[in-house]
Amino acid sequence: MNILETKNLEKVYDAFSLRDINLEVRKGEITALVGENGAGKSTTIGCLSGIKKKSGGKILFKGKDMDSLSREERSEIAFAYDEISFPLEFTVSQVGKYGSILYSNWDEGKWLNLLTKLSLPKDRKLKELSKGMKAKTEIAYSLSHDPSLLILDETTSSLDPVVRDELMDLFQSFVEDGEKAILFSSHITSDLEKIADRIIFIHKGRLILSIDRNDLDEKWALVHAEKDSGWEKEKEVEHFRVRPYSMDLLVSDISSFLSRHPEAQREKADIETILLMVARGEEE
Amino acid sequence: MTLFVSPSSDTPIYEQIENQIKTQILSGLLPPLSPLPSMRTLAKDLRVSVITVQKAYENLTRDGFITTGVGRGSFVATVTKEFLRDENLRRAREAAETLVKIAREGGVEKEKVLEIIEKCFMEDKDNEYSGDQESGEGL
Amino acid sequence: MTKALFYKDIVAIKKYAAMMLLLGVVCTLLLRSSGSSLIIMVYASSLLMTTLAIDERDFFYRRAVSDKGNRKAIVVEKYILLLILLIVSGVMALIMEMVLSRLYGTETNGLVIATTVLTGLALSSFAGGVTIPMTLKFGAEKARILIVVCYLAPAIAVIWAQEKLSAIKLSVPLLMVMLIVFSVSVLTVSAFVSIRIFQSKDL
Repeated sequence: MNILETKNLEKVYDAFSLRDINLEVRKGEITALVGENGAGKSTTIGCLSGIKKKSGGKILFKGKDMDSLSREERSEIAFAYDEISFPLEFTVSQVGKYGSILYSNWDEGKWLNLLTKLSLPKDRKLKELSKGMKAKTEIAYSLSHDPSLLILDETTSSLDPVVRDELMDLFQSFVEDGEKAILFSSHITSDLEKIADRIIFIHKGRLILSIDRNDLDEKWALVHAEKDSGWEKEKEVEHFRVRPYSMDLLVSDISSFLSRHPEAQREKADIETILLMVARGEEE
Repeated sequence: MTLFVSPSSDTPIYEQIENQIKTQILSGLLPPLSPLPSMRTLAKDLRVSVITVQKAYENLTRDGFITTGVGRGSFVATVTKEFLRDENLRRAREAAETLVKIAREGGVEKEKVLEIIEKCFMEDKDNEYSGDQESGEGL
Repeated sequence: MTKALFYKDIVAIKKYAAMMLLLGVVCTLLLRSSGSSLIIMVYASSLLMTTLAIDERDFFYRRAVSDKGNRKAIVVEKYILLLILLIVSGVMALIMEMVLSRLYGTETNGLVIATTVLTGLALSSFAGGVTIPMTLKFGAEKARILIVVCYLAPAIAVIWAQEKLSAIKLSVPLLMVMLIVFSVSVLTVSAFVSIRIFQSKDL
């Protein structure tokens, strides 16, 4: 069941437009949103949160149109950004107090638990915290009102690997009961590599690829070919990139490709590789 | 149960998990009816995607190694002796196919290959590694 | 949602509100002319401007809209806060005026004091009523100059017009009613405009 779905989501600006965005986030899964800076990830998330007014298309949460959700239903969606979005004069405690006033299902116990787990100092003002601690406060806040969908917009991008490791645990626990989901936009592909169940690639305002984790492991590969081999025209090749001494091919069905070219030199295609091919490669 | 995944390996992660569980079931390390962790818990503990574990479990169920009951979780199947034998036979045949392919590509004759296999059995029987001189040839 | 927004704004301007009290005391002691209490009311409405600036600087709109999505409530809370600030400062101004007249023995009566305070209300309502929608539309930075103009201009205008007005001999009760009506209508129209602006804006 799709906990979140967009149908032909569109946002038109003068110099840039987001079009035909059809994405799906399934219950119990972590969906990654990947793309270079300026590709449209934040714009997409902006349309989901209502910060940006979409130009067209529909957004459905648990099957219902976002615009017609009740207050309680809307409260089931939590957004966490890369920097804390509270007045900097606030202390960490006051962020919690705000949450407890705003949300009727605020879980104070959970909040305090998370503060301890993430080593956040209750009485320090936000302006005194490092970037990483602000991001952690943002995450603690988002998780404390029991949302069913957590949407992260580069929230972990300023955190060190140790903290990110702790957070991956937290995120996997979040979806463990199979009823909740996470949409995770990040350019730290190594994190997504581990826990993402589905990866969506956005480039220049378009949704280029949507790949599920098993297919990524099984069917996608990077093939190194000779520049004059003509292999870039093969049907399984999605993108290719000419290099000084060879040609890189992003193949979406490696066994089919290998049946015709069994000698092909290949390696695993990871998220970063695919992103680079999508962003910098050429399409056939 | 021991499990680890190597993200950089060419083998898909679900296959790695599948193979490791299969091996442990076949060797008896995971006896019949022993419970397996829930898919989601395993995904979390291995730090991998949930659908990866799902696929591994699905394949193991399809191949008869585990049973999954709705709401009951997954357990190692009670495998019959024939099943174990068939499975081991299958694995041996797969290894043999690879061996033959390598031999063909490398120009090693059938008789040499059979010789090598004989030697390997003997070494294994003695439970000693007899040194490079004997096993180095032809491989 | 409004309650939470109140909490946020009050925490944000706590120290400035304390300064308002100090300002009141200082003004009372230093200044003698009636009308100096108006400074308090103008300061109070500028506190509201401060909350808008803080919201913008600290990306609070992103939080408020992402959390509950109720843009109208966000705007309405600002106006309610403005009213509260004006009422509180109005009461302070009243007290100040009374203390002033006691201290300096100036002749005055309740109606005059009330009119002075209501003038302050009208001025601040006008200033707030113009600058809130401007700030929402153009951002605190760009609206800054406009804010200065909207605060100074009417104040100057009133001071200039004071002699003229007292010559006209409007009945005081009528003047009071006019001031109240003016304040309420300016704020109401402003609120509608602000809601309109905020509803369609990309944040």
